[in-house]
Amino acid sequence: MIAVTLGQWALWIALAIALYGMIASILGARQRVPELVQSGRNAVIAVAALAVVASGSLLYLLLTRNFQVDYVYQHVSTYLPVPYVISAFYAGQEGSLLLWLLFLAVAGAIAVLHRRDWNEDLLPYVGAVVSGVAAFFLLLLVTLSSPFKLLPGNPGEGMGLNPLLENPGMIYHPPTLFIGYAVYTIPFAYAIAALATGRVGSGWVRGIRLWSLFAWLFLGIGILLGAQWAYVELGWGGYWAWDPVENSSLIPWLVGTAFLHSVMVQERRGMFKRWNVLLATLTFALCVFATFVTRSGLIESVHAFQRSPLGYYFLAFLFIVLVATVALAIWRRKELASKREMESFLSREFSLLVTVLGMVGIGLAVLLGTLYPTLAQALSGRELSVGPAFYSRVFTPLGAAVIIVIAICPLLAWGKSSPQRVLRAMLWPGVMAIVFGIALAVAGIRPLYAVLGFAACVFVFTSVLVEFGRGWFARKRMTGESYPVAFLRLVNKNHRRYGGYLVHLAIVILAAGVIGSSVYKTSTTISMRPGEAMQVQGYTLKYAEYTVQPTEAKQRFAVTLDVSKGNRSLGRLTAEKNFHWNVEQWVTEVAIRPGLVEDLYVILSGLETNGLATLEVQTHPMVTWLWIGGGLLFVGTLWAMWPRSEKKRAAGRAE
Amino acid sequence: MTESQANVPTQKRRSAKQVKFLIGGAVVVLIIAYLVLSSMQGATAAYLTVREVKAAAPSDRLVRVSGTVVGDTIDWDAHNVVLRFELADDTGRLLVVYKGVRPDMLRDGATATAEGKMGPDGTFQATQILLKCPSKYEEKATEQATSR
Repeated sequence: MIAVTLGQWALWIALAIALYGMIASILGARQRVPELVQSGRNAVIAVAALAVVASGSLLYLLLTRNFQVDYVYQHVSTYLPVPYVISAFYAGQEGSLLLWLLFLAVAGAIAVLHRRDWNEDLLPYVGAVVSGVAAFFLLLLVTLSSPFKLLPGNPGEGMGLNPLLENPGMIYHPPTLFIGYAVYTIPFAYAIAALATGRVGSGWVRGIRLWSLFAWLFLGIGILLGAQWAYVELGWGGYWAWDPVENSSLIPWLVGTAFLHSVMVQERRGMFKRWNVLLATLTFALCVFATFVTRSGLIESVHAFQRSPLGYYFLAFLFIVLVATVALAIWRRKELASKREMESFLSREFSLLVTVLGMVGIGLAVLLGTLYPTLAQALSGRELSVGPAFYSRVFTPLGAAVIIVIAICPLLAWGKSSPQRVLRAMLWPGVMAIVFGIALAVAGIRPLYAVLGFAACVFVFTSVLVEFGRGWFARKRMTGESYPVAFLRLVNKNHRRYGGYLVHLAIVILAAGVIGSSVYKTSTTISMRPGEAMQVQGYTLKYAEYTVQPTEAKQRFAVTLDVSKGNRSLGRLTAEKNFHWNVEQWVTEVAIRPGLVEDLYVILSGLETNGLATLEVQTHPMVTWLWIGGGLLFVGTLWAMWPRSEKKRAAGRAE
Repeated sequence: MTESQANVPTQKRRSAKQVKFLIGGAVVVLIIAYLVLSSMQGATAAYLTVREVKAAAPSDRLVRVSGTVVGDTIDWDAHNVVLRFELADDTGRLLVVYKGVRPDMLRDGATATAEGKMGPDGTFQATQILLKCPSKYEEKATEQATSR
């Protein structure tokens, strides 16, 4: 029981230190007392250390399966394998909030230890904001949502993990997402620090670049991991259902994307200062909102929300964050004014403004769709639901517009570009897109909007390749290096630019995957007896055998099919549908044969005792492209973040 | 930093010249707003009670109806893949016909939401059946947690 006491005390002490740290940092900075500033910094580090202690205690209790702890009892059982015991840490509300705190506190400690000339004045406020946010989560953890709550006795056995969560995807997905959410606190803290000190120039936006890229990357990969989990584990035949929990993780990613782009304008041109402060705060607020949606059940049911006061704490916190930012921004309105003005529609600035408006617009549209049922019920008393039709109608045109902007934006110069130059740069991509579009149409690919979508993807893809090629050949010509050397030196010379291009390529591959999988998905329901064979979508499925077998954890129902296409055997697929005893629930284990063109996806819907099986046979074209795009997104972002060596940077400065 | 060297035009001249960019930005915002609002039309489905669904004339508008599944009315035709069951709420019972796979969690007492339209034969033609998701598990957990 010592771990319970230790964890509980760590949280209480951390709360006190966080509150102290917040006040000490602000006072120290305003009164210029270096000792207080130092003390505030130490407080951030102490809170991080205590968060590690509390998390370690919970992990220890889970691993030793101490069922007297309510949280352990609810999420772990004696039979649960160790990796899932670890993932049970964040299977419930209390553990998730603790994980949020842990990531936030560690990121905060790294941030305040990262002292440089440019952030000396900002850091105390960064520490104050980190402490304040940590105090909020600590307050929840010691009052409403304690992971260390004890049961009156030891039940001897726990409830176990929801079998839907017993999938490798569920080990990686939540923490990845939570790292993204928590790390977005640092850009927000810098935005507040910039406002508080009045130093809203390009220093802070340049300083947070790595933080915001890091958070954006984890959020994006977390969303994709979640999509993959839904695809392989939930067994309804899709990776995205526009449900509130999924939406709420997508919204901060979209607004965070806008932030990444608007920051560039301030760095290069000293414009968009208001946007940057606003977007940093908005992204953070939406991350907190996402945590709150996932954990409070506000959206699914207004009743669940009323039962838990947690929701009110979150709303109050979000309210304070937004009001404080707006108030500070009004106070600093003079400093936030642009030093420069926009010169032309045909400029990098304006196209980035369109990017920002587009990403924020899509984000707010998703937010509206997510909140609309709740708002409508609160206002009119009538329940209603917003279907996927809403999202696809909004996403299709806006997504296409964003893709086109991705192609054009990098071609435009800062300030002003000549239309002739832009048109010339668009020549090859345009030709490729038109040729490809006509080829698809002639090959009988329909509907037209999908063809246009693919053509737009080709447009971007070619324009990024042309950009790579242009730089590559120019370098080769100028330096006389061999082709491979010239290429490597080129991409190594400007990590930001070429990393960014790779990310753009990744987004296009993702977009193509989304178009392909949402337009051309097929689903056929068939019934078969053992030994029978059927043709579905060009595949031959032969019913090889079935199994009905009780095991310790579940009653297993499985059907094995021999799959072939033409004369080529594609091997065996086993689709299962199991009844898990501990939760008295059916869990479908789909069988997937992935491919670059399409995935064959078989769901066992029903199996009678005589072997009559009902199967849903689906084809999901180009889903693999999502995972490829995700991999490239990871590589590209990492490349953009990778620091150049000191020597090269010095050489670059001398140039 | 070049920022400080840029010649700063007077406030007045700036706002005159910047108007076209404000309009440009506003056009983008308006297009997005229009898309969002127009997409909302017809993409929402209202929740009705069983009595309201039965009283409504057959129409093309999607509606949702929630209720409890009546266990002994569940009729699952695995060969033709047609599911029939009755949904009950405070106002009555409704026969739901769903051409699709029987959901895993469909059983007596489960809370189900059917989305679809009233057919001419007086049955509810569902295009989608939603069952309260893993909440069975969560519910059980909360039940046990609160009844202690």
